[in-house]
Amino acid sequence: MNNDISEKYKISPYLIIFPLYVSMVGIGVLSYQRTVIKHAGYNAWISVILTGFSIHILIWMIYKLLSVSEDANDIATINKKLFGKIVGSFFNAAIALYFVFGAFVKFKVYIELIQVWMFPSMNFLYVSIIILLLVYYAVSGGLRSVLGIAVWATMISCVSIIPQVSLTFPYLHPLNLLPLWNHSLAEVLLSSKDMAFNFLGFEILLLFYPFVKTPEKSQKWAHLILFMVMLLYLVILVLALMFFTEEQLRHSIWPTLNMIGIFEIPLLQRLEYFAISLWFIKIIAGISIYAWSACRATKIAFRIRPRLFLAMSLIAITILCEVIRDHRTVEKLSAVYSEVGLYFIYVYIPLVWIGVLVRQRWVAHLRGSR
Amino acid sequence: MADDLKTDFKDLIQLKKLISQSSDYKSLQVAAGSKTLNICYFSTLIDEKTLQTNVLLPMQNRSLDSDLERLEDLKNWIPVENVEISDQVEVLQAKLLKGCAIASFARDDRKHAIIHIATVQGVRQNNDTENEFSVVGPKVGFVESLDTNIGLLRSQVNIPNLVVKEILIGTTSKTRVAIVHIDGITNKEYVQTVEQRLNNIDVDVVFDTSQLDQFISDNSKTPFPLFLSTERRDRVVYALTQGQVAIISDGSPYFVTGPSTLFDFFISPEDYYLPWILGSFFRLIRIFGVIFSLFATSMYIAITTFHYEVIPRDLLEPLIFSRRNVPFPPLLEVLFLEITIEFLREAGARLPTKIGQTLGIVGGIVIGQATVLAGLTSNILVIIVAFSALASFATPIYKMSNAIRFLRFPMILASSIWGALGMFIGIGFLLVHLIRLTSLGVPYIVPIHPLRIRDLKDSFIRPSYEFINRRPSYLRTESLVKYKSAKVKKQNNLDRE
Repeated sequence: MNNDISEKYKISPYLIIFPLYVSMVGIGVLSYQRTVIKHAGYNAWISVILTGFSIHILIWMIYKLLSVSEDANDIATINKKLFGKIVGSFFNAAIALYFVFGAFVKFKVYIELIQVWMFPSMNFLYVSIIILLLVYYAVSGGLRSVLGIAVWATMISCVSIIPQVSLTFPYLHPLNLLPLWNHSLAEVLLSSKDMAFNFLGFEILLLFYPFVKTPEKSQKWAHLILFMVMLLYLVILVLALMFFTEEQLRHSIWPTLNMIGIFEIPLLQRLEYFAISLWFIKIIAGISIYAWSACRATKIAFRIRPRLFLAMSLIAITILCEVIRDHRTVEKLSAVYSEVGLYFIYVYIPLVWIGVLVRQRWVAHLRGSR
Repeated sequence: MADDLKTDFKDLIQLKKLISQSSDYKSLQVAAGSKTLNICYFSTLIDEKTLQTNVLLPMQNRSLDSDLERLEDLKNWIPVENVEISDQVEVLQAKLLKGCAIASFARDDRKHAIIHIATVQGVRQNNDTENEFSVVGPKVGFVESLDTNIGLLRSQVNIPNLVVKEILIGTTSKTRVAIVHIDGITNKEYVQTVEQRLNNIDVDVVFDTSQLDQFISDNSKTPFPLFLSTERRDRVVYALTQGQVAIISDGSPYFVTGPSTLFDFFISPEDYYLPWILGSFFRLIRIFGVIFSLFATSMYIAITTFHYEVIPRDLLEPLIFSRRNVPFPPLLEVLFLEITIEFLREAGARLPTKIGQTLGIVGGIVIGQATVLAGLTSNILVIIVAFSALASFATPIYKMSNAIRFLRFPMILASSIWGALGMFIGIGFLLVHLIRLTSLGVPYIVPIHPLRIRDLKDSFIRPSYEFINRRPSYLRTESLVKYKSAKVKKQNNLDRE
């Protein structure tokens, strides 16, 4: 099997920041404040930093494990080499499913957001079909179009963050942050665990890696964008902490949107309607990247035609969206996804990292003994 | 019955029999010493005066004292530069139809002399750029003759590197199509691609270059023009010096240049003739105009149908007041006005200039006023629609402004179904579509995606000449630097003081 990627399809190292940003900053940024402060209260900003650092280590691991051997620089191939054909295939299928599931959670949570804020009584079947058609259109264009939509999404989101931050300033109460330390380390760590869910998405590196020209150079960009994302989460969290009182924040599901709802600019108010709609581009980009990753994984592992798998998984997402309607189930699924994601990044990735290193030593040892 | 029209004749007699049915086909016998020469031509394609003075008269004089032995000697007999000898029926047919007279000794002789005395008729003398007008800068445009156009081009690109390659396209029209590029600048790959695609075209008549543009474009399922077509000489020269390929067909005043990107369509030559600050400002205005004209009406629909909360109370009052008497939902109201504007535009384009203008003003004002008075639309909507129509005409390239006006309608529909979400679904489709488009293999929205920061400087704004002395890197040109520096050394006495 030949998985060599022609030079034509490869991307410049710095472009890796766009898919990473889009896949990490998802719908979570609208609502994460509530979950994060559950344990650590107003010390939650420490948790954000802690989680950020742990993710830095994981990204470092990913780069290490992918660059060790030249013939296996994506996770699907590594799985096969490391765990053998059967177990490896099992892992690969799990990874593909994980990405499809991630796309589904992203999509469903967004649809729910629209349902709550914009169209409470609308039948969402048609909207989901249209949106998923758009995803199909984007992903079937290959990496270039997936990346393109990620670039647009990043630009849109960067442009929208600046006014968001600056318009909140008049409403802030900086003293809310005090006292700086009134929770135990255990509570802060528990919050860190909740925060990790919001960083999920950088795993796409495991599949994007071979598409980067001189991938080693992209590592600094990956760390940079991770740092930026951490900063973004930190800024938005701190803004929310200074904006709301702790009790208010515990009871608001989408604090970021509530904040945006306060702003008024000439001609327009209640900007959250536009913020939610604007978010659509980012959601599309996120789903496209996940779907692309799933397609890529199945293509390498099982040689399934990407378009076929894409169509199948999008149809599955549509059906699931129709079947699952109540908020509790969505929350449960989302919790399951976050749980699986945590194991994926904190258990599986280090495991593979160790496995790859051991295998490399072993191979070197075998060669040496001969 | 054959499916294809038989146009190429192998048999001379059959050919002559067919063409002698036409009344403009003439056949003369001229004495050439002791022999007689048969001269055939289409009187409508050649200059008969030249035939008289340069062919018939000299022959008459020479035949008094000498004999024409061979056809090859005809060159010495007549003062016409271009005389060829051929016995290929296909060549004779082609030449005859391109405005040559053919001469032979006997009527059925295969060997003919071909005398070039073509005339060009029906070409307008006026070569103003009527459709791409600019206040500053040259107003030289192209006309309907290929040779004149290439001549116009050569007079501004004064280097031997300007390569013009001609091919014939069209089974019925056999139109000459020229592929122009500057050797040493343009990437050869584009020239080859264009040539190969043009050679693969199978069409009967080529009326205009824009037709070819559709045949050779990478993707035909798009409202966006993938090649830029222009009648301005400065635009074509600019495109050539940037490293693009230009194509023109005979009989068309429009050059098609490519590979082009989305930003090329919002660049007006005037940007470069005005100081860069003004040029940038106008370009930004243009881009803003496009965005406004795409989304203004759909935003109106989204807000009035679904999200009236986003309007502040001070503004909500006049809006409700103006919509109070309107019996339609916003969608119908908007469609009504938008289609009125489209009618006006379409009618204005078909009518003679002066009537068109009058009709536009009368139609616009009278219809607009009357619909508001009759309570069919709201005042505010008339303003929005008029603004967005105006903004769409600010696009310098007609084809692009067409595409933008067309795209308004899907946007309107989407936002009338799902409000702001629908609008962004529309934007999503638009973005993905734009990302997937390529022009001769070059991504359509190139400085943005794939992101090329160095090329980005001459996209949204027009920087000073010092900063745009390099060709865009996405065109992969063979030489990158246009000029070394645009800075003028200031040394005269005036500057010292």
